[in-house]
Amino acid sequence: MRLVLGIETSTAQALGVAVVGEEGLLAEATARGEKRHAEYLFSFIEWVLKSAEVKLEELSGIAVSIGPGSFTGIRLGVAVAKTLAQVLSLPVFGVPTLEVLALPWSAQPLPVCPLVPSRRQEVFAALYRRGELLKGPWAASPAEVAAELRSLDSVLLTGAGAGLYASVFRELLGERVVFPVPLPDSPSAQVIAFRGLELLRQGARGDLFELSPLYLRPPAISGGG
Amino acid sequence: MKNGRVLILGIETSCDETAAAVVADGREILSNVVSSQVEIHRRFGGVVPEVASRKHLEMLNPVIDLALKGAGVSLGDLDAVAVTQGPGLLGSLLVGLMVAKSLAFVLRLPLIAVHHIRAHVYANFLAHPRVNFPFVALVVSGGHTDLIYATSHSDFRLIGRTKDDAAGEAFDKVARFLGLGYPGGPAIERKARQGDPTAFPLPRLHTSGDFDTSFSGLKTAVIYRWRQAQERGEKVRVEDVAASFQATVVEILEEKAFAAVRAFKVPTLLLAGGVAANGHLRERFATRAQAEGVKLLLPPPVLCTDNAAMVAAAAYYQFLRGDFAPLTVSADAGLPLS
Repeated sequence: MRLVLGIETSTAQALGVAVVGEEGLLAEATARGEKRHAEYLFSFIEWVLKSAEVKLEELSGIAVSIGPGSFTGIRLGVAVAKTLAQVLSLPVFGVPTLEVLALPWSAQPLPVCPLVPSRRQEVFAALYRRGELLKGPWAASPAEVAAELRSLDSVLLTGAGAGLYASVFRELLGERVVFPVPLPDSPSAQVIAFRGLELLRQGARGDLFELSPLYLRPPAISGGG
Repeated sequence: MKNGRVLILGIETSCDETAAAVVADGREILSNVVSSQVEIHRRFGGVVPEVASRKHLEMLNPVIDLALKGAGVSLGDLDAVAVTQGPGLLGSLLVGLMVAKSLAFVLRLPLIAVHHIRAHVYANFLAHPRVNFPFVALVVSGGHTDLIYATSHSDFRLIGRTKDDAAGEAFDKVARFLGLGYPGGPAIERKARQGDPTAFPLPRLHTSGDFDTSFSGLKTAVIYRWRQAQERGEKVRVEDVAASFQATVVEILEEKAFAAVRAFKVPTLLLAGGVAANGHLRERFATRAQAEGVKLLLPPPVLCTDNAAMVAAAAYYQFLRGDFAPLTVSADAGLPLS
């Protein structure tokens, strides 16, 4: 029985932990809230494992979202995932945050554009169809992302950035944009864990020293000195 | 104690060094691994916080691996995991903290949250067989200029600090102004060796009465006097400026530290922090200590700069008194000393 722990800390929207097995979701904890990820992550992991009646030693792999999103948030999850994998000698899989947002829409035919808010009125975005990356990812203004989507007949927008910039996209793309109702605005730890399980089944190595964040933006240098 | 002695893994990521170490009984260094980012930050002329955080995440797991292998211990041999909680750069601290929490969680070990400045003081406990309380400690680095009065392992009091720039920061800024590169401490020390400390007189900017220091005015004075000399067409040697500046900083530190030793009537003065690796400072303090009959303790330069052995050493005394942190503990960029 393969068991995978999924960790989501990559955006400010939510902290999430899930454990999944071959038969499906065993336990998941999610809470909205900013800047408390570092404090509550281990309480969540502890609760999820206990609720699923899974011991740490029984896990077969770790999966974690790697961004783009909050730089600090990404690092929290990746640092924990890498270290758990190091100590437990487990494979660890990084899943791009935009993919996490797109995966729940893989079964329907519309192209999906997940949007994660970034600083300075910008978003991280990419275009997926049936779980496959078609274009991007981009770090750009909502208007620039809209320009990339203009050639499409129809596109489904998801993620916190979709809600935040709904009016911009409606204005620039009109009837071509579709918003799911209700709009899921945070990446799901369950989706991350299932993606990890799939990679495990495919025989992916999941080397912890190869796991790195997807920042998508160079560091700001202004703080030097 | 799994092996008849307490083995603590220390982790330090508060600034630009990614470090891990294994220390036995707070005294014996079994391994001390430091992966320095100085070459990366050199081109920016200082530590760039986001760059530092990214590098810590990349390096910390392999550094821990090296520290364990170097010490010849396995994770199962450890008695506790210690990590710098603050003060420092928040993003950098968080990487070390989350990794330490992960280790403590999986291995079911106590987590010990260590104050960075206290850790610097404990470098002396690694370097010297006996350190007796009470003492005054001067911790000087790129981020801090703290005078501490300690009466026991659990009683450290901050009695003086810089009102503006840390001493090391002043070295960095003056070095940058003089075009000597980064980090400023070693760069200025090298130049100062060929300089005359009296050739470029600088004002003595002592603050009165208390044990606080100030270096911002001194830095401004260097820049002002340099420009004044240029305007007048006077020939000024960079070596002389470096020597004068270094001598003035050391003199200010010396006055404050020995005044504290007298005021608190302690027999011992401890030096620590990156600036305590400065050769001129070490010589001056040694001479003065001898003249005043004060016992001076200094760590070797390798234990002055940021490292994780000092974190594990400080943690040992917290371990003995059961001072453990919950897994909900957060990093604190401005963590107070007491």
